[in-house]
Amino acid sequence: MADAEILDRISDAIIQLDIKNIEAYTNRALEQDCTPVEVVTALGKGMEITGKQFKCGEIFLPEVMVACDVYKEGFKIVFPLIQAQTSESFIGCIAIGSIYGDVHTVGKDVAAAVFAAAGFKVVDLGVTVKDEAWLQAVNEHAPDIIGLGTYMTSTFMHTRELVQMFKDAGVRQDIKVICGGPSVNNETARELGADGASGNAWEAVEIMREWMEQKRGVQN
Amino acid sequence: MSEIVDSWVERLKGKIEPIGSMSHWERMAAAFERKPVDLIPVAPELDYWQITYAGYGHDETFNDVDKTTDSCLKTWADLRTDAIWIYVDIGHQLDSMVPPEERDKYFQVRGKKDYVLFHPLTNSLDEAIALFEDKVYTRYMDSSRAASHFTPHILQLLEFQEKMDRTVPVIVGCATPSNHAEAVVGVENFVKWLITEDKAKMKHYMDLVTEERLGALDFYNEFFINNGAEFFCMWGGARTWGPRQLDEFGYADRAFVDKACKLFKYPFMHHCGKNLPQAMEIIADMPCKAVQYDEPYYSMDQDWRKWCETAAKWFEGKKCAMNAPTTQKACFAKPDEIKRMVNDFLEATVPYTSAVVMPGCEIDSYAPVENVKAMIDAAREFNV
Repeated sequence: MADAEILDRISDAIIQLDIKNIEAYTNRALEQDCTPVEVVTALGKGMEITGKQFKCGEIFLPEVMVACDVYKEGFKIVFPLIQAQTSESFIGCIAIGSIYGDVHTVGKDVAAAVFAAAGFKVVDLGVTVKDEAWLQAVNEHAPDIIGLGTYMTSTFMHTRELVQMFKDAGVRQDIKVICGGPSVNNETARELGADGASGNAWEAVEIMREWMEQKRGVQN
Repeated sequence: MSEIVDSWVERLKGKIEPIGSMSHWERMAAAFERKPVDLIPVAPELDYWQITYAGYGHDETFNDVDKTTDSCLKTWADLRTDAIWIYVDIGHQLDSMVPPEERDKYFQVRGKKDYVLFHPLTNSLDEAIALFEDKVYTRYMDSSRAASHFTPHILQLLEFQEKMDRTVPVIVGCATPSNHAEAVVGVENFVKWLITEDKAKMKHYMDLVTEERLGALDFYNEFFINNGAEFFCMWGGARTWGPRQLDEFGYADRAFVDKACKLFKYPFMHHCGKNLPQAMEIIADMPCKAVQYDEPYYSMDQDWRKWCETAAKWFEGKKCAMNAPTTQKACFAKPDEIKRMVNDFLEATVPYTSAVVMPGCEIDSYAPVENVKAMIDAAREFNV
């Protein structure tokens, strides 16, 4: 099988929610000397098409969640290979989780997969992340972006405390803060001290890409 | 007989000014029957907001139903909405399935003002099936599947309703099979299993949950309807399902709604989240009298007013429409914006059907009091 064909199969596996075969396809692609970046690109292409189908109402959240799981199955095989490369391989790094008090994982899990597929290094802190754990993640992973996931309106309101904590620790200027989830709204997120918000992971990618371009522009 | 109820009845009965020419009960009932009203009814689901408004927190109200009842009645006395919502956290669904000494570990509470969440009982479909096959829900609350530590609170509010001569209704609520099936295992797991698990196995799980929920309605009949409950909210799940999942598994909620609507006089469906047209159209054909709904599914690209009009057309001749403002706006917007949103909902709805101002989901505990007052004022000021 030609390289292009196996890479297409990887993309299709995500669109077809084929969790049984993604591992075999990914391994086969690597055996056929596809580079890890090519495999990740194929996985990302599947997620991109999934995003378009979701946006126009062809598929719904259950399908998106399974597509994310298919993506993750493939990604976990190539991740160690990608990780071995320099950080320049990634657009940027985001530490993501749900704010302490929120046990929901729907949005966070989708976002983590979509961000990784878009080329971000994702540090997944899990759900109901204690405040101090966010700071620890900043110190350990030096992320460019912190992704505060909130399903509930009341946990969204704690954005202000977390941003203040980053300020008090002297790291606020080093990170962008984005809020995500069905309860967030951009205007309120900014009032609470974050830099932006989105209820849609693919839309969030666009916002974060812009931030990373700005950051690179400043650094250059 | 309850001291907390009697103390509120003594303070309020015959001492509060009437609002409009109808009682709160008459106003709500008329709207549900799609008959003329003197004022647009307003009955936001105040939920945990009323607990914090009264100065309490989760620990106090979880362990002391008098404080739960006190919160609801203090809030009603101050705001004079057209209905009093019971307060229950998710424990009301799961109490009967968890040994009392283990309940604490399932709660997730950040702080006194934060919404109370509950961890799923299991992450495994096989274990979930076993829980229902073993009828675990008959073990921990006097063998009554729907009983919870909130049962005495609900009975207190119904006592208040009767002692106030049924001038203000109490809204009692119960989760539908889809909601319950998701709560037990976590929505995240459940919606994925709708696709990845064997369909017959998922149907078996849904059938077991439906059997439990239909039994729960018998408990509601015995304890709440027999004590005067008439307004009944069916807390629907399936909020993230697509049309395919609704086709395959929507039958469970339908069975529940059919039975509830035979028992309660004023049943209504609660469908919050991003609403799919397909789900709304299914609900529009259910036998309930009203629908508490929320925002449009975002890919529909309908603005708020257009969306409300679309829903009103679905409900025309069938249902009372209940919405506005959105839960998020109720928390974040300025009072003027909330008033505009309520007004838009009413102007778009009343040409087609009756309306109640009732956001699609609960009022968040962080919503400012001025915002809640703004939605009440907007309803009262609307020219009917």
